Amino acid sequence: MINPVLLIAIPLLLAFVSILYKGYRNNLLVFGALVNAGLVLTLGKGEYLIGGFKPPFGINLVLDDYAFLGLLVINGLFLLITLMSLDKIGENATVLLVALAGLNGLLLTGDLFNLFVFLEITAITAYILSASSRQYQHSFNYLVLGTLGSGLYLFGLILLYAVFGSLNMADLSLKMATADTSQLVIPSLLIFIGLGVEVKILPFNGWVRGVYGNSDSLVGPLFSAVYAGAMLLVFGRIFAQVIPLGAYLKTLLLLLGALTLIAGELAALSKTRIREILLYSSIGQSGLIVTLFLSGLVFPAVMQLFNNILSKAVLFTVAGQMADTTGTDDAEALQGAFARHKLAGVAFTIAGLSLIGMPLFYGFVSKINLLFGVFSLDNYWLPGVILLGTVIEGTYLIRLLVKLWMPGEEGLVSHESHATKAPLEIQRARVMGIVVLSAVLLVGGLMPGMIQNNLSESGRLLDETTPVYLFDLKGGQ
Amino acid sequence: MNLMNFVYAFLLLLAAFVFQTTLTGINRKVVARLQRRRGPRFYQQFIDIFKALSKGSTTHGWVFDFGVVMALGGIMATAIFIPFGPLKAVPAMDNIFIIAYVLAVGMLGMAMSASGSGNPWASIGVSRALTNMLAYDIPFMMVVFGLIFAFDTSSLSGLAAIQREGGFLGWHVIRFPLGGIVAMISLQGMLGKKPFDSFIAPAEIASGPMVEYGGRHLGMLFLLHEFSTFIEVSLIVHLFFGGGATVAAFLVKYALIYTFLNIVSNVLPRFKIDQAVTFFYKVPLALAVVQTFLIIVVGMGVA
Amino acid sequence: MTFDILIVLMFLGAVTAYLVSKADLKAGAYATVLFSLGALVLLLLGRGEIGSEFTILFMGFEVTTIGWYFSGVMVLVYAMTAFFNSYWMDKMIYPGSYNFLYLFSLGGTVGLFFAKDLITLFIFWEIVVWSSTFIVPMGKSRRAAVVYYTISTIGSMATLYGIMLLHRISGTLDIQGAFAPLKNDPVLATVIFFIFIMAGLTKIGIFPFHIWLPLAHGSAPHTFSPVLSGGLVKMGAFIAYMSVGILPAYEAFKGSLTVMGIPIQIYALMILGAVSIVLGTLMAIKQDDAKKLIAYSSVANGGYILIGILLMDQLAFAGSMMHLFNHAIASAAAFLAIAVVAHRTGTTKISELGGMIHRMPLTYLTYLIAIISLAGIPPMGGFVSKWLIIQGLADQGLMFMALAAFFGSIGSFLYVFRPLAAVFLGQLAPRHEELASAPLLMKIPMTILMVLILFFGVLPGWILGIIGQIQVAAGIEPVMMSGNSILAVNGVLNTLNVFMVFGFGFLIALVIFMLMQKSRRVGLMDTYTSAEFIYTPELYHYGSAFYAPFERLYARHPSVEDFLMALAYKGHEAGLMVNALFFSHKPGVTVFWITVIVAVVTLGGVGL
Repeated sequence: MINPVLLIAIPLLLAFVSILYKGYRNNLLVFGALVNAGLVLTLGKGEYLIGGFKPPFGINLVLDDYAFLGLLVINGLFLLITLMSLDKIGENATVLLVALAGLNGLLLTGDLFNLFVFLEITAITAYILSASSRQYQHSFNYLVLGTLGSGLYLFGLILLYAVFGSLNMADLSLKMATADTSQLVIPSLLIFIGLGVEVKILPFNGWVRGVYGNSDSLVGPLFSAVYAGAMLLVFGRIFAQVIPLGAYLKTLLLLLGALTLIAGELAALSKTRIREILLYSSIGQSGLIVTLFLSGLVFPAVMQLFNNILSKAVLFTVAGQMADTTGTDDAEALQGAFARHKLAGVAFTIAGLSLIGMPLFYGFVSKINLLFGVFSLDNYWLPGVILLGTVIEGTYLIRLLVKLWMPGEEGLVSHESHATKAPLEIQRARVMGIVVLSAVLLVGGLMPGMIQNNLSESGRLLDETTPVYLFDLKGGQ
Repeated sequence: MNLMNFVYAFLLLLAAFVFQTTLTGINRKVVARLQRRRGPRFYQQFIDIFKALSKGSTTHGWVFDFGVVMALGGIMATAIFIPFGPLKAVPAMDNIFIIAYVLAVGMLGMAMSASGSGNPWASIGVSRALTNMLAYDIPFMMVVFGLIFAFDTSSLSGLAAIQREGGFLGWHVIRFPLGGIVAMISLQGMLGKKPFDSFIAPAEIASGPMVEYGGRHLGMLFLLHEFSTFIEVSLIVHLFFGGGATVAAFLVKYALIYTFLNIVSNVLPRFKIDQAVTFFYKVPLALAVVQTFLIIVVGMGVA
Repeated sequence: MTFDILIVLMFLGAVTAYLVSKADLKAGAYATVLFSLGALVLLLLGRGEIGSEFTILFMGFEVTTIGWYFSGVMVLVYAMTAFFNSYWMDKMIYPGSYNFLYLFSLGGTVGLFFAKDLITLFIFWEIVVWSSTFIVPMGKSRRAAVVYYTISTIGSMATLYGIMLLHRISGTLDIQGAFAPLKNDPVLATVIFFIFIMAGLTKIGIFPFHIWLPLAHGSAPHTFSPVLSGGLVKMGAFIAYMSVGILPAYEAFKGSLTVMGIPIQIYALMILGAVSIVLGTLMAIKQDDAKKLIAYSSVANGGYILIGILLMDQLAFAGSMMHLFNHAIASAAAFLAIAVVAHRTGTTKISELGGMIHRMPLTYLTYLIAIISLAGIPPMGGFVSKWLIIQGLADQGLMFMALAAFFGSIGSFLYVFRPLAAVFLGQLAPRHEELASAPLLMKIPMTILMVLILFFGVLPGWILGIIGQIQVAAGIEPVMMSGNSILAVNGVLNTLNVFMVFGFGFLIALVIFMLMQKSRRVGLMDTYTSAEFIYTPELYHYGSAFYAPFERLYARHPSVEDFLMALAYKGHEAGLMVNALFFSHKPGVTVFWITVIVAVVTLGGVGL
């Protein structure tokens, strides 16, 4: 049995090595990512102690289905994105290795303070990466808000520790389950805000626009898929599995989630720059996923999360690439861009359709399941909000897809001669990467059961009450 | 349907033609008297038709010819469906909606032929004629709709027979006076008589659809005109004036109504086409809706 | 076995057509013809298998008579239109993808009608939506595709909500079982009824969702407009049928307020249908683009279909089912005729055309027969179905529906005549003197459609027989036939007799015409011109603003388009507001919001 701490230790070690051997930085990064991705597949479930103290006194790593699924997707995506955008890494190989360690730590740790440490590590790497766009004001903005967020998180943590005397998640959740919820309002709100900054909940997400909006084909997918995915998983860990919410706070936070969904989608609707559209879409999706986690629908939330990050990895790679090579990512200026990049266009389209939740793609499976989940709670307004979000999201994504595929003025037949003359280049590695990702979305949509089998029993153990539609239930049942 | 039906049909057409053409001739005389003229002989209309048919003419291509044939064919087919008093050439085919729509074949053929001539006057005329149709047909159909609902039949002879049960007072024009008024106004529109004759207005658009016709084409259009008059007036006689228990009764009612409308027409000025539409949608349509409402909801006048 | 092969074959066919297109574009287009014709053959062969069930992947299917009928209509339209595809290969930006999506959406429609459970239904519904969304912008408008998608999605998301709600209530997704608990719960049934039917309303293009039809039908590639108008719109009718027929709405709404015996819920939708008829007619009358004109006529005809389906009776329902078919083939034929014109001249603007009859007589005939049927004039199919609908309305005494139906009927004479006169008749512009007639492959489907329109107008027995079975399956009295007579409770229609009498009349007229003196042929510039000399044929052709006096009467009508566009703009503004409120480049703004949230929670919730 391999100790999952290796997932954190190896990248960290390689990060130090990479400082010593600058010439081999990229090789070390790829090696680290590969080793990590390979290691994930060999992991065995269970709890692992660090330092020999038994919890709740010592720090432990928890590798349950939830963490395993997260590790698998996050490490896989990290590897793929690194390979796709090797040429963009430049000085950042060491940072990326540290980030990998931090991300794995986030998913694995079973201790709230330890989580804070990994949160900080990951955030610092994110600040550094965001600076690669040379838009320092936005990075600074992010730094300020990120720090404020972690500060609030820490504050909430201290309050919890003062009340319950423990920082271990399992221990705390037992203790809090019987506690008076009024004691929990302030600490859980502070933790919510702290994580809210990272998972992009309205109104704590002012930084997103500057950072995502200027990301390149490395940072864009990395932030929108890997970082966002890990942060949302952490959010789900804490709010669906550790901290019980009182009715008052839950309603309020649910509303905030729903507001984030609709506001994000509306903001995306009003944008014309591709990365801006996508970043607001990410915000909307975060709102949706957070809402699901808060409702206790862990498995549907995880499915939707995977759908979102897989799609966003593709979308942001292409969008970043457009901005990198043509200097603009305005949809109007790039109309018909896919006429010369059909394969990339197809991958982009599949990702877009999956994000909307169109059938044949993985997004449909996740959408159906999350709707089943929400309805099973006898909640009838939330699905309405979610479907409204889908309508808006579909509108701007289809508008974008149509613009990028079919150039032409209104009233004239679409023709290649109207297509953009911008010197768009998409490297083969990127194209291959996004094709792989979109193929996953397609296979996941056509044969959802297959993914299920290959991922063993994972996931479903989290939430046994919800039937998993299209996985083990078929039509008519 | 067998051969005898067709023989009857042919005879009926002939009778309708002779009767209506004579009546047209007489009415020319009546109008002349109104205007203090002597007027032509009563058989002048026959002379006009046969003369036109026998003359040479020009054609503007096959659709010009085809349209005329289609128009006359369609109108004659419609006339065959009309019960001639108690006589019917084809059994069980006097459904009001069938008649209304078969009539449209003729209209369409005529419009097609006229537009096929390439003369803008003709097209303007067609445009006006179709607009006119949209104006008068809706109130008329509404009233008919009420009748069908009330008596559960859409057969012309059936509706006529129902009226005769109650004698003179059973006539729909008495029982449903609003509907009767609407039908009479609509009939005026159908016949293209003043004030609804803007689509042929000779002095304005050179007779509109008719502008390019001469010789046999024109003769056939005259025939068409006689038959369509026969269809339209018969509709009203059957629907509102008790039809005819005998051929004679039918023809007398027919002649009186036709002459009455003709006289009314001759003392009225002409509506512009949009005025006609506005008029029909303001007055007759409102009356028709009220009448239909009374029939359907209140059941007024329905025994 | 036939039907699972059919569905799978369409999707395989889509891929095949794409691959073949890579090698040879024309061959790819022919592949669409072969596969869609194959689908037609399979459907006809599989008639005996009605009632069988099968599964593909996770989707369950059941072959019903109504599903078979609907897919027959759909496949016929697809198959006929497919003949045109090859001529547009070099004009299309992505011809291969077009062929792919063409068959892909066909597969989607076929699967939709055989769905056994609601999720399968929804899956295929959305497949059709997105695949057709990508075909539309290959034509003249990108905006049209977005509007089409948005309106469709508003409908399909509402329906999805309804599906989920049904599942929550009944615990099943099986179409028959899911609706079962609603029979005894009128409130719930009302909610489900209005939510579930939304996808149908948006797809049929019922007011106020009609705005996508003129946009999408009018600007889609010429080879796809017939499919959109003739085919895809009919999917909506299927959902409408499910909402009243399978729910079953009349049983569930037994206790509600009624208008003329119709529950108020259903009557409300019928009013929307009536509004669609009037609006579609008025808008069609004033269009200058032939395709937009036919698109608006689809709005009007959609209104008839909806009203008939909602009535669920012996006559109007049968009429509406038949009208589905009649409108599908007639509208497809009309669009195809316009497509030929567009293929040869490059325009569909009525005012830029004229005299096409001299260059393409068969196309003219196709258009003529199609519009006669669209206007509901005998002896074409459209007459039979409109007759049934109107007799049904008269039977029930639905006077306001009838008012709309009459207006739509007479109004259709106006709008169908306009392209006939202005595109096909009148003077031919000199620049069009050298035009060739329609190519052979285009003539084939046009001829088939013409024959079908006429055939089912004269002998509607076969189709009414199928409709009778549908009615029996839906638990209503089937439409009665005796020989060639359709027996309505309030009237009889013998279509064969109508045809024969019409033929007799035509024959007499022809004899008169033939017996008389031959006419001299003159050109179209040789007309009565008030003794003026005329030189320019295209200026002399009366083609634009055909109904100007009538159009003037409603020139300043209020427009739901404007309202919806304003609504969309409000969405845009809301997005900008979100942006301005929360996404500042100054971190202080976010800190402010954090403070607000903390304050709200603390003040409001500590006591809890």
